[in-house]
Amino acid sequence: MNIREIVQRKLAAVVAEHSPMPLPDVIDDDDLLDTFGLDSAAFMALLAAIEAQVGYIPAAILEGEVYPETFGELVAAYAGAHGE
Amino acid sequence: MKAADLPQYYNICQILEHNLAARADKTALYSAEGCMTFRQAVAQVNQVGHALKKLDVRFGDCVGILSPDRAEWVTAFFAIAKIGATALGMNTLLNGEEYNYILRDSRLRVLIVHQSLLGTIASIRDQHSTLEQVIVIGQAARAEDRSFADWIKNEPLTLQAEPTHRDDFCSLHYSSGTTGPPKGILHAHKDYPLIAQLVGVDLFGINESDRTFSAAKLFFVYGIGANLIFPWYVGASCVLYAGSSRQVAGVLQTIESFEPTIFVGVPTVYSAILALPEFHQRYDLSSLRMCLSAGEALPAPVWQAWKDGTGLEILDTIGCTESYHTFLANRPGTIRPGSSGKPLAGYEIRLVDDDGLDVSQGETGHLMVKGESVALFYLHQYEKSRETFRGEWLLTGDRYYVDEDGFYWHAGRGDDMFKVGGLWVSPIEIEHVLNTHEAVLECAVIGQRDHAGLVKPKAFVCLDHEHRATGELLAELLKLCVAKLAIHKRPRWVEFIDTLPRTATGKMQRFKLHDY
Repeated sequence: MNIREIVQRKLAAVVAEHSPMPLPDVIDDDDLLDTFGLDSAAFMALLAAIEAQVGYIPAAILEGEVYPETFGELVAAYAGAHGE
Repeated sequence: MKAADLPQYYNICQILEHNLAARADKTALYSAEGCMTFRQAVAQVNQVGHALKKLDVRFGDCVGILSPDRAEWVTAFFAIAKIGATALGMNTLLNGEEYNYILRDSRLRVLIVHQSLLGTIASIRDQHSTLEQVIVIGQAARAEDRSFADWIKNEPLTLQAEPTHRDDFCSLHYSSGTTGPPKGILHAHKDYPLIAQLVGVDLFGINESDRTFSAAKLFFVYGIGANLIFPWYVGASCVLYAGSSRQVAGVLQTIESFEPTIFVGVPTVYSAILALPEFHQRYDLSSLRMCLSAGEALPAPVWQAWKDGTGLEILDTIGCTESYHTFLANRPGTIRPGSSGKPLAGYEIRLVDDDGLDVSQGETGHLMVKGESVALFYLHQYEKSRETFRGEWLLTGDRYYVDEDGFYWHAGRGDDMFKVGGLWVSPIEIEHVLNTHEAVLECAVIGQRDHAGLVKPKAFVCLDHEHRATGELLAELLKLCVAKLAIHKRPRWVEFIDTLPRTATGKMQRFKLHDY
């Protein structure tokens, strides 16, 4: 499973718990995370869920330099941090 | 401290300028964008003041600030007050219609806006003939606009303050209304030193060695009070964070980087931080000695989890825009988690029934507060003012009871308003949006607690006979809310029901939905 699939799977789980929004079958990179109903607590829960599987949260997110607004930005943050 | 203890002619620029004598070169303001000493802050205030005067801004004129928390926000605020004008710190989360109302209601003459927020006013700014000049923090987009830096760069560094009376208004704040437009609330110069002394010093014990940091933004009275007025009143420093308080990692990183001693949050922020496992291991929060909360009731489990993680007790408080700041608070060492604490010195509290008679201890009543920082009226809202400002007493709209030890406990609202993330939400606004969908026959929205005990919007929707409740329809309704409503106003839950509860005369019984 690649990082995109992991992020999408964890996003689906967090959305199911925190939001009434049914997650679409296909998610585009441009889709705003806001549209899935993720508030700040849900976003932190998402980071924690992904970390539980891949073992890290990108430093740029933890240091407040990057705040992903879209699904694509979230995936890119993990993909970019993967080789760190 | 009483208002009469202040000089009759008093200007709040004193809160900044008294620091020149003892600590001119101390850092007054920390931020990722740069730091500023008290001397530098005074100089920039004076430059902005001169630049405003050149725009013919006069005593009593209203000047708006629409910006993330930055040094320019702060210097503009004090400059506006220093020349006797009225500063309007504008909520950055509003929609075009709300900005439209505020620009019209305040008769704003000059707007100082950050470039990132120009888009929010682009469609409405030309409708207001009173708005004569837009100053842009950053890059101006129109030829007639001016950039903040260029606007002030050649202005003198000294400026004589206007001899304002302590009772003159110096700031205007807008608070959401239940059914109507936002309510404009004016505060006077006297209110600032009053709350700084009564709340900042006497209650929280802020002193010169402190450094404050607030997740609540400066456009909130809670934010500007705790993170600008209180620290500068005692010669302490403040930390500004220009990012959204939703960016919790940025909030935590700011604490680690700038080492504040006092953190000012709202329950939603504390709850979001707690959602990050081992947050206290990932970030160095050891500089903190005190944590404050306001905006909505802090759930006891959040208080306990924060204490378990950090060792710090959150002091939960309540205030309102009308009172300017806190009037009930928990004190260090005498905290009752989940309660709003006890009245502050300088404020009196009453709990009354529907007839205005005091209720007995343990009974729920309407919360009224009396204190010298309480505003006098709502701008251009006579009827609403008469309902709310009752002589010396302010009817807050909150319902409370007091326990046998004198602690006050929130028991809901007298109207249908509720708070999400410290921000007022009117269910009617959300219902208006949902009702625009062709499938919605009628709907109702209430505030419901989530798993953390924090209130979020829940919508009950009745469909017309041509539509069925499906996942696709649910997604359509939620996308409609995404397009029309700020994130804190979007329903967290949507439940499809056949009919809304109503009285025999057809009046909707929103309160019954809490039992669904």
